[in-house]
Amino acid sequence: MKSLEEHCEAFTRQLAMRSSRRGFITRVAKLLAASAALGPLLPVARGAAVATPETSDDQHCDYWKYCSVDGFLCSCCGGTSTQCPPGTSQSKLSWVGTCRNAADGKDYLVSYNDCCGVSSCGRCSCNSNVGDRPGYAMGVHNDINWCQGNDASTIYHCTVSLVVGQA
Amino acid sequence: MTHVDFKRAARRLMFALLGSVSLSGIFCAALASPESTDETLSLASIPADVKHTVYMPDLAYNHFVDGLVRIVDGDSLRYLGTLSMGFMGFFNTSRDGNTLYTAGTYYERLNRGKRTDTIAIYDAHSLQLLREVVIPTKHAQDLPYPAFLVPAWTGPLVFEQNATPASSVTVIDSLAGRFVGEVETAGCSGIFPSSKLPSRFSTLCGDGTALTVSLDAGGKELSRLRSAKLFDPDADALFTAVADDGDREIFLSFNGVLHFVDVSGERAVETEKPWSIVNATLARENWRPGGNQVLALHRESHQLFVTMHRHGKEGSHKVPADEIWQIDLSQHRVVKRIFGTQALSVAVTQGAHPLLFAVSADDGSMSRYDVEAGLAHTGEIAKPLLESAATLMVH
Repeated sequence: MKSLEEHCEAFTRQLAMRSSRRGFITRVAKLLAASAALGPLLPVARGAAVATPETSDDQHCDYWKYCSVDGFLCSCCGGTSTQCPPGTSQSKLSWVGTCRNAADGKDYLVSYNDCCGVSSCGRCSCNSNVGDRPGYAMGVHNDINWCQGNDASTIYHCTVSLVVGQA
Repeated sequence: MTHVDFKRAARRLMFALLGSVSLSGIFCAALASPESTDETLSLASIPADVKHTVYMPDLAYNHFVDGLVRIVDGDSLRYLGTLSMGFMGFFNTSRDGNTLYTAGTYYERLNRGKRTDTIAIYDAHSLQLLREVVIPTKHAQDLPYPAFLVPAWTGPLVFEQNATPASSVTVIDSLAGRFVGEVETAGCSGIFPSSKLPSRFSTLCGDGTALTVSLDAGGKELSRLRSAKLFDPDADALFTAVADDGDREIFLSFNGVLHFVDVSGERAVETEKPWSIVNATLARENWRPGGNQVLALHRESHQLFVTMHRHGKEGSHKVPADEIWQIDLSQHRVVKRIFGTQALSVAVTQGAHPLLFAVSADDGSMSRYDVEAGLAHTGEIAKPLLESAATLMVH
């Protein structure tokens, strides 16, 4: 994993260098830099959206911290919004979005991990494409499976959303 | 159990089996109608007289490990067959349409065990596996865009997109069934082969350029050259879906701007100034392209078909079609607009009497339109057809 982490760090730096200062990709790269202290997580951004929350139900796509989720909600699959369901494994890669919590009107960094190793959960499918770009901007590409960095199994099951700090 | 007991037990079992076989024969005879007594089991193949075959990759989103390709006769709209393409597989046809390719990931126990990535090569008529090439376990687990698994314009090479997420391209010899090599393409995605040199391809990069890599016959890199900046991925990104137009590729941006790029030479070159398919009047409603395979080109008549939605905004580039537009590339204008049936992807036949096909994100159905009849809707296959519509192509 070390080489993969090094690759992603270099990729993030390249993104920042290649983009205009006011550019969307640059903003995402900044988010990645800001979330570098995530411990075992290896964030790969694929969307930064400031969304207006419409529900307090964490099994609904409009729940405030799901503003960049692309996949099945683990809260509908036997886990929670911060827990992978039993029998799965958490992805080594994650992506980061920025979501506004209407409760306090502040923006938060949210890290999205995929849970892997079991076939698709198939429940509570959400897909937000704000900031999504094709595969040539891999850090903000949301079509791809982020279980892909796992050694044991890259099979995708569902996605969790962890608040990791204020934006 | 003694030896004698064992022999008795074996004899009883044999009689029981014989009895059940006899009973089965009686039941079968009773069920079969007189005119079907000479029926024999055989294997179908796709008839040689099928003129237009439509291929529809089905993501099987709710059980990703089991991706499929649905195959339909574009004229009779008869269902012809199905291919498996594994976990988040890719699909494409050979240039002559006689061979089909899938690329995918497989685990030895479905969701766990040893991972094997392959490119499988099928006969397009029998749908039987011809050969399979085991490739590095780097297959990009992405949507099945044709630009992710592409045969060279001539010869046996096939190119496949990798992502770990580091990007690279796997090259195979599809005739020899041999892995040729891996080409590093960091920060780039999509494969657009050269019509002049079969071992050359271009790929779009995150800095807004195209990278062109030329290989020798053995797969060794000869050159690697970047184009001038072609687009701004931040302000107006280009879709992964493209329209092949001989030496050049036609790219479409999220905001509806067409880019024409010659990818045949050592370095990709823009061949004409980009222009928008959305005129000032239409721009007031923020019409934008949306979906997956968002454009299709009828080469002879220079007619382009695009899936469009109104009230477009950042993040709406995958919204299915409110309308399908026909654009005359010679006149630089929209010549026809029809109801979009929530189309996610379109494909058009080449040659005389072109037919346009579209798959719907709404219910996974497929619709057909007659281009010469003003895009008249001339048929559809309603659901159940596709569980998870993605892209489509027609040959």
